[in-house]
Amino acid sequence: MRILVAVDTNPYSSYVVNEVGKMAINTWSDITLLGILDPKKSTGKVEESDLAKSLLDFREIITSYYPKGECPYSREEIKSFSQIKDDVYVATGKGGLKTLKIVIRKGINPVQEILNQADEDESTLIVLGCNKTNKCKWDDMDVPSKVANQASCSVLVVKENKTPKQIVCCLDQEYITQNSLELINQMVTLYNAELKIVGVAEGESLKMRVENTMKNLFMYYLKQDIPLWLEVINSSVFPNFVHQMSQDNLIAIWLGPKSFLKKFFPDEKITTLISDAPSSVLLLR
Amino acid sequence: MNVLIFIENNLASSISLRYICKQSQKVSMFIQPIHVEEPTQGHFQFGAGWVRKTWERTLVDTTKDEIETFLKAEAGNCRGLTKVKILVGDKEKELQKEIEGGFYDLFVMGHLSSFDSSMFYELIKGSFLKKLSTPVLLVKNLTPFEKVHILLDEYMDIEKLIPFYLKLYENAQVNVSLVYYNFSENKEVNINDGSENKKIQLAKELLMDRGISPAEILEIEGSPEVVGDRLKSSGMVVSMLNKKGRKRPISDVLASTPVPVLIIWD
Repeated sequence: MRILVAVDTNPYSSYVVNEVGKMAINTWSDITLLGILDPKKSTGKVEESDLAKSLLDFREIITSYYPKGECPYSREEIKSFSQIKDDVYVATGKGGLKTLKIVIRKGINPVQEILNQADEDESTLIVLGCNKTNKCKWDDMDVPSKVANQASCSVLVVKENKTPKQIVCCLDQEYITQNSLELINQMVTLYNAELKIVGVAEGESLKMRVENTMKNLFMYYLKQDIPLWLEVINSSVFPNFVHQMSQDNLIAIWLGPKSFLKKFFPDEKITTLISDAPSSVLLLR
Repeated sequence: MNVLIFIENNLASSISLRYICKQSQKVSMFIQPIHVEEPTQGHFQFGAGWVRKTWERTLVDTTKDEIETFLKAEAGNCRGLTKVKILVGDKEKELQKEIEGGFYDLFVMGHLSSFDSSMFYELIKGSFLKKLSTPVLLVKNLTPFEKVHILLDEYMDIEKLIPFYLKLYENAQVNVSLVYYNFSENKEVNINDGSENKKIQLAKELLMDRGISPAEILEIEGSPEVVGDRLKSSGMVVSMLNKKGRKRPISDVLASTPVPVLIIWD
């Protein structure tokens, strides 16, 4: 798994990095810690910016989750950043079984910079944080929701200090990737939460393909000995369901290319969900 | 206990079959699976008589293979499970006939849990269950069968409910708890030990008379959704519903709880 953690210097970013650190213990993922510098506001050396200092601290946080000698990432001290192309600076230590790199991109559009980095890294998952009090914005910019809407990979928006009771996964199609299942399992482990799989039926009866997927998931989790709750809902009550569930639970929505859930969650609704939900949101692609 | 379980090749049946097989580890039971193949209109265009009969036999043979494969896959080592009965005809009518003529103590079917309680009410108020006097176990999820919660309210005939439950599950090695429900719209639940509640005390006495000491006794007040959710730790919620009377809040609790629900009819 390749995780892109997009951060800024706000406290919620530190919270997110801790969550990713816990997740990385089980996944041994390749991780990119990404920060965006506004070129108008930062004129000095990249290394001397507050963002660079925060990113170095965040790297320490992730490696601190491993006992000495067991860390898959390089712990070599980083002294400088290398400019690899216009306005992109990278720092990484030598060695390590897995990659943990720091990237600083200069740009006026943080959303685009995050998406560009995700494309370049071929990220499986983008993780961003925000707090609950300001509609999940980054200094008045809708960064998390825009990234969630525009990314081609899965996106996890982590709300600060909210441990979900359940991971509620909503699906409407049969195509489920190994990566998305792994992500779900990581969320269950990370939060020690219950898992609920919700099949969304369009019309009267649960469509055969959704039911087949649910049955496969049921069998999969039965074999893994992971307790699972199953639920079916009619698509007409889906927005209401999501609103209610997002109060205490992490909502995970599979939004594949054939997904009719996209109809219920067009971009503006995803934005509302991310800005209003008290809990974290995971969009699986 | 004689159990009739309705089987289709689907997720709900997979869960219900696995669940009843778990129960059969703790309660002695004879489990009769039944599948009813509903022929489409076109199947009967052959007319009546031997053509129709041979056609039905073909349908039974074809379906039997599919359902037997399903049973083998889902419940290879299920205690008390016998050979599946395959019938052709109207699902409700055929099940009705089988239940009436078969001396069954319990009818089991899968019914996936739903956020929208209307699916539960469609089933409960539907023509099939309306005619049924046998207790019905609706399996919504596969839960461990270790704890049973008997859900009571002020309208319930305790002297009918508890003996009915005991008739089925007296010898089951499970923890039995008594939960008395009071409706409120409050999302926070209010709980007391029910020591002042006559219905709870009567239910307790009836259980104690048969050597069953309730693991927990609660009088709980809250919205049906919140109380239904709190019952998640249960392996089965047992309650009594009246088909004719007006809807009571306790049925909303049964609709919203995600665990298997045993309904005894008043």
